[in-house]
Amino acid sequence: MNRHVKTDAARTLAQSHFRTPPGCGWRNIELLVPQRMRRAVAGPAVPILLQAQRVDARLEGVPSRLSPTRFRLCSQERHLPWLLDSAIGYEVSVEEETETVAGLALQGPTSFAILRDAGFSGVEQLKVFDLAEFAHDGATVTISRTGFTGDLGYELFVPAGKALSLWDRLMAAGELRGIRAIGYTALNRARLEAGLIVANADFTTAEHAIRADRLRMPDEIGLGFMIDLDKGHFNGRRAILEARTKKKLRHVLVGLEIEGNIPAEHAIVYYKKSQEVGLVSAAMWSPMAERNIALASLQRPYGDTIVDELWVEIYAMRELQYQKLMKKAKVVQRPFIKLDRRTANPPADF
Amino acid sequence: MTSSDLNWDAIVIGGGHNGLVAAATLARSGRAVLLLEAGNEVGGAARTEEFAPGFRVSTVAHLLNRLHPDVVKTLELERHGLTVEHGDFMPSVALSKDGPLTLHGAYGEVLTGASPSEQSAWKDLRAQLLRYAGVLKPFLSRRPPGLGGMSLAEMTGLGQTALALKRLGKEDMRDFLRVLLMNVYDLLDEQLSDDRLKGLLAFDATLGSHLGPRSPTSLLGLYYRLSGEIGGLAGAQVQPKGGMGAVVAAIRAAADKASVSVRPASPVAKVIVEKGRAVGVVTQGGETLRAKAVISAINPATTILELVGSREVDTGFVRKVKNIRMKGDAAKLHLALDRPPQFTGVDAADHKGRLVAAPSPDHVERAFNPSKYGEFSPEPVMEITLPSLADPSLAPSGACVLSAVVQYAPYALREGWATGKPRFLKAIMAQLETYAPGIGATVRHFELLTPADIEARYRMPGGHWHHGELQADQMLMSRPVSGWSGYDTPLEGLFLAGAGSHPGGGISGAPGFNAARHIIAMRA
Repeated sequence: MNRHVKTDAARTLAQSHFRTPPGCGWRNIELLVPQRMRRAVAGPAVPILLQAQRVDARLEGVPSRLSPTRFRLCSQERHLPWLLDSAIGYEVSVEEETETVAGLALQGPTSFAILRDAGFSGVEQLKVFDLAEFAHDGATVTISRTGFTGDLGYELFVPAGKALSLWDRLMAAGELRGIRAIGYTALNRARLEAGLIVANADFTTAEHAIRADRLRMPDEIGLGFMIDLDKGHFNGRRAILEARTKKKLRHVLVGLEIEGNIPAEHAIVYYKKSQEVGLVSAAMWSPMAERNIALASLQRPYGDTIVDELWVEIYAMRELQYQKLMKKAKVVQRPFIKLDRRTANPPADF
Repeated sequence: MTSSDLNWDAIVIGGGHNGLVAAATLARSGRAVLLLEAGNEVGGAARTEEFAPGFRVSTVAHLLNRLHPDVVKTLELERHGLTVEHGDFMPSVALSKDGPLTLHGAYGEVLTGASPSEQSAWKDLRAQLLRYAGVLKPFLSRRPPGLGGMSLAEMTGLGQTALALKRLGKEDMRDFLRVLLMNVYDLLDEQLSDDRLKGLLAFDATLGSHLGPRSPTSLLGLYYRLSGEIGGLAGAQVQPKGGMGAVVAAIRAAADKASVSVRPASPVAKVIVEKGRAVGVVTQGGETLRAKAVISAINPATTILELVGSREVDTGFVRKVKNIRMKGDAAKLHLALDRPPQFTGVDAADHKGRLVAAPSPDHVERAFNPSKYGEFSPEPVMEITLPSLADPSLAPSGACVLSAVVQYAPYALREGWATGKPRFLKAIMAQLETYAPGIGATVRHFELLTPADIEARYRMPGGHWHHGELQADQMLMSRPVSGWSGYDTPLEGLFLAGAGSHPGGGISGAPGFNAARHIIAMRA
């Protein structure tokens, strides 16, 4: 895939709006998240991990600090009842704004240039995770330098009634810069190259898992680094602590590089070609990395301390006949590609 | 050195009877125990209080029918003044316009006032009810089995229950399982024909819960009642001499003997949590007291939401605790009467018994119906005792105390209790008048405690004497909330020991006793 600029509907997110009294700020949403939020004072959007009370990673979400007392949480699934229950004992009000606020992601190498040409002056000031408000069509658009592609990119939020005029404004400005709408397949490829995981694809969320053993701890899906056990109580803290001390972590999510060029989507991962140790949840031939990449969930210790002799079984469709391939897989670091332009300041023209 | 310099082994919050039992049991194991009671005296809902000059009454709980024998034995309550003789057993009298019917001894060992065929049907049903309640009895007294990681003792306990079930024999076991979650109305219809007897049993099954006799699972309430024993006999009931306060006094004496430090008028403001562990409490007076274990014998929701705070526990747990159903439906009436009332057709001995005004199961059901919609029963059902007949010290000479539990009086009365209370009292008095004509003219003072009053006076949210509806989904492994039934909480070092925990309310001491034994076993 050519990393042209593209738009998508901000991952069809669910959005919730938080209001807290002055001075409470992040403290009031800290229960939700395992990481420390206090450093986030200037208003950037920081990816977070929300957790249910037990083992399971619940969802990923991105809260933005719109003002000292207003926050927006974008999450893949709707969680209003859970958020409302989480707000008990806190001075915070939560409202659903999924239907009233339109989200749009503008991602890719020319995304900055398009915003600038569309007249959003000052957008060059935004560093990664920063956000600011701009005028649009008699209303306000909030632009954050965020995205789900691992590329230079922005996410825009406007009142739903202004969505079409914003779309037209961007399309006009981007006409000569390769702007085009993309769907989920393209986004899915971009996020995989960036090594980002997707709920209910790479792990099953607590809300959706029917089988108790399908739930995952953050440590089991590569999000352990986000957890700060010293910050005080947060949802799931005890469960995480117990799993760590009692060594109850059974899975690990890894990036794989697989020999050959046949995508290993949903392939079974074997140890020494015979013992089943896991499953590939996303895979592709990456044109940018020029590697055959995959994300896989493995049963520890495979993928954790034992990383040799891992194989994947790929069924390659060749002219209406499956050919079974056993290919060697290597555990590699994510992201599979790292684009300097994502974080470059000021963002590059293109 | 003041007490706040001490590091207590255990601090018990709440000096209700369960708190006292927990404190005494822990202290007997050699622990330094401090008990903090918010009110000016201990006893909670098991107190004898003066409600009118010269008239004293057991203000909430007025009958003793399930004080656990292990509690009596371990705390040596008999040595501390608690005595129960077989002769103290009170009969239960079903009041009716057709003349009364009386269950004598321990829950109707002998039935009088009914036809011979009904007597024989009752004999069979009574035996069956006690047999089935006996199967549940170990479940309804011990710590509920944990579903993950059961200990050997728990396995053995479960095994014993399985064995008890097996001993029933095939037919009986089938029937046990068939009726377990049935409604009491249909079961009574299967086996009895006398409305007075059926009304009494329907009343007992639904007493203290938001269920009518026709509500599914209502039979469980009767099993709960019959799983209790007093004086070694299941189903028996007594009125302790000196009122319920005398029972608490005996437990208090046991606590004192075990060197529990009891501090009244010390409401707790906060449980101190450090790194996910409860390490002490702060009183409303601002004093910080630290302890290795904090045992809350007050309401579970109050404990978690107010003393601990939702910020220290996970959302899922807060949600469960908030969802505990605990809106009471039982009111308590106290009357100071000029002279003992005369209930029509009831002989002198039976006046000392428990008089139940619930003439038929349909009547109980009809009394229940309005409560679903926030209205009180226009013809309430009630359990009446005249405690001063057996214990003249409770009333001035010649006068009489009437104590009644009255249903249904929904906590959240739609019209509000300010206007509802006088109207409800009128409805109650109208009922009383039909069974004891002329009683209204002898009322010198009255006190009617609605669930809202009970909540305010006894710190029982919802005015619910079980601290949580005692129904199938809030019993056993699901009491107070699923996943946390074994007196533990998500906070290390914080335990629950009140009626909100398994097995539930009533003056049993079982939650407090089980919690204490669990803590002792943990640290052993």
